[in-house]
Amino acid sequence: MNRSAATDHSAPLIAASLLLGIGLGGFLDGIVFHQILQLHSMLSAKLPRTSLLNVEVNMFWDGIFHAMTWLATSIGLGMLWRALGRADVPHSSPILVGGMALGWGMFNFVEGIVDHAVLAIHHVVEEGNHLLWDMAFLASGVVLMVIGALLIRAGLHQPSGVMQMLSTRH
Amino acid sequence: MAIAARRRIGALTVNAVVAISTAPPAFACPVCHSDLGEQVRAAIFGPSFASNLIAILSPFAIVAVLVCVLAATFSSRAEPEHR
Repeated sequence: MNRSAATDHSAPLIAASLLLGIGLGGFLDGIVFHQILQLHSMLSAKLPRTSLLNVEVNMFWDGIFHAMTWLATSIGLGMLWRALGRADVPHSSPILVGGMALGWGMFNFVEGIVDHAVLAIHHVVEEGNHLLWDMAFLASGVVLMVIGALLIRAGLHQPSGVMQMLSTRH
Repeated sequence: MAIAARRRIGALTVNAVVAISTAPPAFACPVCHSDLGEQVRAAIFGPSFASNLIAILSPFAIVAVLVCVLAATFSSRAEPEHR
């Protein structure tokens, strides 16, 4: 029984943490960029935030975005609750934090490709050289994914006392 | 000097109250009964509603698929250890 414990049943924890990362990363995006800095609204390339009408329409679609991040967070919390209730799932902080970073990075990367580059419905900033900011956003996604993958890898290879404790308890 | 300052503050207060009470309300929310509210509704639920919805939901759908793929990958890796 000298195997790395976290490799046994880490999938439920990874799935939950990925969803939590997507949800919480989306909330951070919405709070910091959409609301505080008032940039990066969902349709700001199609409807520039230069009139009350356009601001209102963007606010509606920002709300749909936040509804989806709330849904991802809620499902992630539910999955985490179920995962933590299982004795065979490792309670690994690196896997949890790594999964959240991976989920957040994946979302930034996919959102950057789809919304910024392919559909061009909005950019991180609309004025000036938006390509530079869009590339920085994509790069943040890649960095978060790499950090997340490394943390998950570390978590999968760390010997877990928790698993041994749980296996002797039953 | 103090009397002049008081008069100025008084005049400013009166002006502020008049400005607030007579300003036309924006009422621009999507469920507001106003011209602007109707324009907002029309802009949201117009011909581009479906395409906007798909554009905004598509990153979530793609990432959801990726989460399923990753979870399945880690599950399948764990299976041989049980045999």
